[in-house]
Order: sequence, then C-alpha cells, then structure tokens
Amino acid sequence: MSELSDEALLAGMAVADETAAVTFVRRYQRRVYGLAVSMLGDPQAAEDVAQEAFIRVWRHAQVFDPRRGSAATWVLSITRNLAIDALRLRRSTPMDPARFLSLAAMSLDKLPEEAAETLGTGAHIATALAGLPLEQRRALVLAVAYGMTAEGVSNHESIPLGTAKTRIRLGLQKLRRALDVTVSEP
Amino acid sequence: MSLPSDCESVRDDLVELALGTLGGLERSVALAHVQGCSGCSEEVERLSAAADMVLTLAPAVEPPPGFETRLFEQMGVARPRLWHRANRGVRRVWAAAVATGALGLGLGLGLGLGGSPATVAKPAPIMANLTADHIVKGEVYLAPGHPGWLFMSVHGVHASGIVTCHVRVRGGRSLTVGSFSLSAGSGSWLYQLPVPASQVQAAWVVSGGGKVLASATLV
Repeated sequence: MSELSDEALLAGMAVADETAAVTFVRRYQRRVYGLAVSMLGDPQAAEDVAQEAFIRVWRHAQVFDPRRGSAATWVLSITRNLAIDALRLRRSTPMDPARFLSLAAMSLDKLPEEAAETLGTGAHIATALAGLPLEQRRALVLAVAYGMTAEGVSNHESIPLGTAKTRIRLGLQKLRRALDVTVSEP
Repeated sequence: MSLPSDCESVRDDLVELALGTLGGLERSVALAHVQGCSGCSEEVERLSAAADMVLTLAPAVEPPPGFETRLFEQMGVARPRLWHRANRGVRRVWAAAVATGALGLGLGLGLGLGGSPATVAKPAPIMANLTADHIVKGEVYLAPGHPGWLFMSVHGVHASGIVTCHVRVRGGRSLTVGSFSLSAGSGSWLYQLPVPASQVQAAWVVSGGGKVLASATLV
C-alpha cells in the first residue's frame, strides 16, 4: 500500500477505502501541517487547518483531476486556502515572507545552486523562485503563501500599489516560464 | 502581435485572478472575460499551477502527538489492522477503484464517459504489472464487464508528456484506448474500454515518439 502512487490512493479514497485514506494521511501529514504552521505560526491553528484539509480531501477525492496538477499541489492548495481563511480571521498575525522561505530551507539571499542542493526533488521550483529578484520573490510569497492582495503587499512592503502589482505579476510570470508550466489538453 | 482589446484590458489582472487575490469589480470583469477566452483561461491556469508549486516548498514538520488519532476520528476512519499486508491492500483498493471508477474518477477526470457504475457488474479485476526489460514500471487493472474498465498506472519510465494506451484483443487486433499525461515519468488513468474486457489480452503504453514504454499481459 505504501508504494502506491498518490493518484492511486486518491482513487481509493474516492470509493471510501479507509486504508488508502490512512496511507495518504501518513504520506502527507508532515507537509500539510508544515505548510499550515509556516503560514500561521501557531501550532494549534495549524493543526485545525491541517485536519480540515485532510477531511476535505477525504470527502472530495473524486473531484481530483490529475491533469490539472499533482496530488501534492492539490492537497497543499486546499491547505493554503484554509490557512488564508484562518489568517483573515486573525488579522494581527504578522506575515513575513522570509519565514516561509527560511522554513523552506531557502533563505532570501541564498544562491539558487545552494537552494537546489537543500531541497532535493523540489530543487527546480526552489531554483526558479530563488532566481527572481528579491523584491519580486517577497511580493510573490506574500501573495501565494499568505493570500495577500496587491493592496496588502503594498501596505506590507511600504510601496505604491502599482509597484506591488508589478512585482507580483512579473514574479509569477517569470516563475511560470522558468517552470515551463503547461496546460493539459482536456 | 497585439492582444485583442479585451485581453489587453484584463492582462494585468490575470495574475491576481490566478492567485485568488483579485476582488470587487476587477474580479467580475476579469472572470467574465476569461470565461469566454480560451487563451486567457489557459494563462490563468498556468499561472495558478506555477503558484501552487511554490507551496510545495513549505517545510515538512512533524504534527503534534495525537494528530492522527484526532484526524481519523473526525474522518470516521479506523486504522487498518492488517497494515503490513500490503499486497492484499493494494488489490482491495484497486478492485474498489476499478469497480466504481466511473463514479470515482470519471467525474474527477472529466472523462465524459457514457457508462455508469451500475453497468460494471461483478467486479473481479485482473491485475498485471507493466514491465519494460523485466523491470516493473507500473500496473494495469482490468475490470471485467461490458463496458470494461482499464486502470493504468505508470511510474519510473523515461518519458514525460502525452502518452497513449493501447490494448490487444482476441484475434490479434490492436486498439488505441486513450491518452494521458506523464509527469516526470509517472501518471495514471482510467479508461472505459471500447470492447468487452474479456477480449483484452495485453496492454501497453507508448510515448509521443512512438516508443513502447512498458507492457502487460492480461491473460
């Protein structure tokens, strides 16, 4: 069971196979909880978010579409959205893009090569992100990992709104090109 | 080449739309455009996929003690007692997945298949390994019935992108069943067979360049 692909486990979960669900949870709990705690900085809130994320995966496994991305990005995007909801309820929580990046073992000023060595299979993503100019990287992480709007990034970084929009836009567009993201045919 | 005026007007908003951070009137305008513009729709999808990849950089952190117990209680899931009996588990999961695949994955994959789960009678799937040069590269599960269902899972092959699944039926005829995408040499797909499952004798997966990546014998 433990060697089954993520897609196979989700197929099992779609038909309410509990063994598949247990395997999936055990495979992803550290990453799901890790993302939640990176974003929220609060272990209890992170546990609540991580648990809700797995419950949603369990209930909605049948809508997972592997053409639109991997199981990992699916479950992590569910976690992100839940964590953003939690962050919006706790507006006082400080958001620091450096925290996300440093917890990901990639400090803001690290060279791409060093990041690649640190992150193993995620190396190409880390390399692409690390290849962005620092200000674009910060703006992008605030938007992606903390769900911050351009206005929020503008306030957080003390920059004009137009500059914030430009940094986010250029950052994500460059990342997309660097990762060579394509869209699957239906 | 300049963009059509509508595309030009929403271009700067596509990034925030993909990130889910665009609000108010700008969001409504951008959404209305994207719904009718395949080019911008695909661009939003690509940007969204790139953003999701950033999330995979989050560190893995051990959850607090009792996390699993509390979670499984909420999910209504019992811990498996026969945890070490992996092969039995594999077969049971796949049997269930194949038997009700139209309900489970058919919706998720957007296959638009005509069959219904009820038509997959008496599921007794046949399993075979996909191999290349005697090395296991995945599995094939075949659910008997008409229509039959074939679930193919591929891993560890040296190919990415679109690949096609083929079957050989009785009499030696070969059919192309469908295509799916491999990412870093891995991928899986569920197919509704165009012939009774009992006629299928072999299945194989072929790269975009026409190379047979792995094959399985099902009889």
